[in-house]
Amino acid sequence: MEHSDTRKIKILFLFTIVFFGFIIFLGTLFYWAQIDRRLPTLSYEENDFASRGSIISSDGFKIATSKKLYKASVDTRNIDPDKRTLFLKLYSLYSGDPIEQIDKILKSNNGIVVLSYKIDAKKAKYIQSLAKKLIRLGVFRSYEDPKTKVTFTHGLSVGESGENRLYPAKTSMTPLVGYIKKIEQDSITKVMGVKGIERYYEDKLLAIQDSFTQGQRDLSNAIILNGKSVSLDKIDGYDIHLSISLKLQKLLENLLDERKKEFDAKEIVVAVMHAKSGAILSLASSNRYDPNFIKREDYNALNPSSIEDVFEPGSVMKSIIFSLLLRENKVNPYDIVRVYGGKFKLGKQVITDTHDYEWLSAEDVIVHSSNIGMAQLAQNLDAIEFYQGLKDFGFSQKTNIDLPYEAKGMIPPIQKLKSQTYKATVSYGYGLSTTFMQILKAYNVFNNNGRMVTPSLVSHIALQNGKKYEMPSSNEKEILPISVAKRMQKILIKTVKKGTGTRAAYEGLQIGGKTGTAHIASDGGYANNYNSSFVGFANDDKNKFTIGVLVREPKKRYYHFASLNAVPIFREVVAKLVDEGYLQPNLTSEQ
Amino acid sequence: MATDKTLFILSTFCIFVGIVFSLSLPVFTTLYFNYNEWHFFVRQFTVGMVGIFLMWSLSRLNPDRHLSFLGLGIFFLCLFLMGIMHFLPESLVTSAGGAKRWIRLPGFSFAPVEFFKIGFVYFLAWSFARKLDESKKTLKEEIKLIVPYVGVFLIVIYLIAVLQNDLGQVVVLALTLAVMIFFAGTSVKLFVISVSSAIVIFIIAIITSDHRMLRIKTWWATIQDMVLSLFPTQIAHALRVENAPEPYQISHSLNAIRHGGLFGEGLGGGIFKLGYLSEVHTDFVLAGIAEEIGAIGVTFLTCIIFLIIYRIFRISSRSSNRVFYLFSLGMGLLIVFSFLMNAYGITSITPIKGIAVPFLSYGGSSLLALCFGMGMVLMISKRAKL
Repeated sequence: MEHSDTRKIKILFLFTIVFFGFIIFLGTLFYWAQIDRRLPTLSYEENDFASRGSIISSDGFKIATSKKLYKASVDTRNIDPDKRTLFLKLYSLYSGDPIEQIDKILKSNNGIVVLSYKIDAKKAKYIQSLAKKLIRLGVFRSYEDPKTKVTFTHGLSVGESGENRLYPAKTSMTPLVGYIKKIEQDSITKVMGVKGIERYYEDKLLAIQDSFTQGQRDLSNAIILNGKSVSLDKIDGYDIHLSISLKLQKLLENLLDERKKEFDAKEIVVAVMHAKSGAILSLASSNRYDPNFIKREDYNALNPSSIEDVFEPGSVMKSIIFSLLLRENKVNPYDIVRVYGGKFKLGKQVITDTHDYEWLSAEDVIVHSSNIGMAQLAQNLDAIEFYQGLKDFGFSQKTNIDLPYEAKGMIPPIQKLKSQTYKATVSYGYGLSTTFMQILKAYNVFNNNGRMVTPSLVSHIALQNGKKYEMPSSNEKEILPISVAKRMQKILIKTVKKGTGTRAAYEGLQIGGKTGTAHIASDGGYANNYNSSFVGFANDDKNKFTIGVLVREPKKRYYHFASLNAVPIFREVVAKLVDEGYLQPNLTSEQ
Repeated sequence: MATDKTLFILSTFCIFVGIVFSLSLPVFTTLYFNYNEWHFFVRQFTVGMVGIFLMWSLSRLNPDRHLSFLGLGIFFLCLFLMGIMHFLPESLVTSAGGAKRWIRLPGFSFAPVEFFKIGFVYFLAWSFARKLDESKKTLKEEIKLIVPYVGVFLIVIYLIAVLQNDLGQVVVLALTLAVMIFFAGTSVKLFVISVSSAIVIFIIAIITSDHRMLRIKTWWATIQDMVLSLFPTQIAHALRVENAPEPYQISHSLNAIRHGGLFGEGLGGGIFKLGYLSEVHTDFVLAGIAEEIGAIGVTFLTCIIFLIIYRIFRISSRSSNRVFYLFSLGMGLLIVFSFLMNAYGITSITPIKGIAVPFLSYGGSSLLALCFGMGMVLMISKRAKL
């Protein structure tokens, strides 16, 4: 029993010591749990930049698209000198860059160096997997900064350096598609639209939301997705889907290139538009540039002349004024007009024609393009009707086509339109300035039952997830009663059958149009420079297209007349539309 | 007289806590090695269940008839295995850094040293009970009596510290041995002499090795702020070491404790287990647990362990059989020393020495061996006057 008691005392003593041992542990534990201690950064964030949307043709080709670029960087101080060669060899293998080049970059700085800037997405993935392998191979070691005493181990890191805008169709669709400039944003290269569709749809093309993930990290910087993490999905900018087909555009561009050479012209422009919707099927120019590499000599091709350049349209205006006369019941197509054999004095002004008819019916004034006839008929419109008529057809206003920097042109003020001379000159297309697009839009009224629509290049926009948004359709406006529009159509068809536009005829299709050969004013006079145009339509049983051709300053001798340059080009355009199945000639019914 | 059910329930509770953390803590390891996410959990769960069953089965045996056979059996078997282990072919032993610690069997491998500890404690209890008593002896007589044990222990040092390079286990065994000798009936004088000579050997061992010196220095650098705050400024200044780096593992262990704070980040919410603390499910399990359930949670678990120790000591003090008394005391000491050595290590009170936390660390051999020992203590508890 005595033994048992000392034993108990001994154990109690032992137990007390153990108790204090535990207390020491718990005390220290609470000390460490509460002490002010600098923990390593435990959170990490990742950004994946959203890209600018693409511009896509109606036949599905990417006209403009963005590619992400990545850069790889490494801190040379963290590379174990014993494993430097291993690093060089592996990086060279994964990146495809020569060893000597990497070696040179590594030697260039003692600290963070960028090994390559323009790495594409696929290679960036490879290099990222290499980065993990390098850690496992123990290539990196920790480094203590002698000044700050901060120890760190940075491996090979791959980050985004920016985006590159690519134009796979090269010169095609320019200058419509436009171009971009590069901007630096938080040390990332981004792009911004400067001209054309790139500019007009800038707010839609713009990347919408970068993906962003932030949360606690493990040792290899993988983010733990838990209740404390934040993440945002990536939303690229809208893709812009054009109503223009790349194939047709390309065919027409090739055609214009040939004809530009043939006629020694400054530029040739062609537009094909769906009469009903105003959707542009093609808007081609002979003057283009490659947006991937813009050169100094491209500068005058950068602006789409179809909407930015204004000119005196010449005889194509006659149809517009004639339709106003019809609308106001101020003319009967079968009235007989005296045209005085081609020379006529109105007030102080002498007006000439290129033909010597003595008498013409009112509609034949259009068919044979008589300035004298038109000048007299135009006097029937009073100043208000004249001015309002021009306004109704959209002159001196933007067409609101979806392109930036559109010119408005100008028409004489209402005061001046009281004068005989002004009525006369405007009636055959001088004394006012218009853009090519304004003329096309006005002529479309004749081909669309008197209703005016807004031309547009874009059919819809879409997100990467497939969500489509149709563009809001513009308000249609009735400019002419349907009867007047039909009458004008007939007169324009007659012009092609019997008048100045005979070379535009295409069997089996309903073709109409009006020529214009306008002197270009320079230094107060009119030199031997012309803008020759033919604006009209080509319809089959199902589709109606309004088409315009403008040949600017053809220098080829004797070929400055629209009937000899713009009209044949118009026919070639129609032929391409037939070839491509946009129009189907109906050879059975009579036209 | 009945089995100590409380002890059984407390032990089982701790085993379950260990199983829960075997799922939570090694997530990074499972990803890193491409293991199934249940890899560690399934193993710990299985071993835990087997262990609990083992405790229960052993507790039902009659200590007077079976204890001796089991205790000495396991002692000699493990001694034999550790002896031949070094000569076994590579296909049968798993080595880590040149140290052969595990014997590979079909489906699993086990570390004999864990079972050996139980056997060793039983062997000492059995032998002390016969050779030592509480009667007065001269110091010379006492030394004469314990010399054979020192001899046995030198063999143990050779087998474990030299061949298996596992100094932590030897330290635990040495401490247990010292306290058991004292409790077996030797004088305080002998105890003091042996403890002081151990300290001298310890200091010589440190001073003679640069590598050990560095470890002490880095340990001191970590702990000095806490300790020196208790001293007057001048002494503190003299003792301060500047610019010694904090060892990586300790640094993250303390980070984890700090990050957990008082209440923890929540079960499964630990961050330092994600690659920072590489041995988080074994040697640093307490740091990992501290981050998830906080200092308060760890205090609760510590109390449970403390209660277990209390129950074992109670059984020890109330056993009339000297073998039973010494054996359960030894078992209690094994748990105390393992737990404190680990706990002091992760809080940097002492330099770190890898050793498993009883019940909580992941690892089949240590848990199963512990259950075996606990089963024997439970068996004894039936003979104690509780």
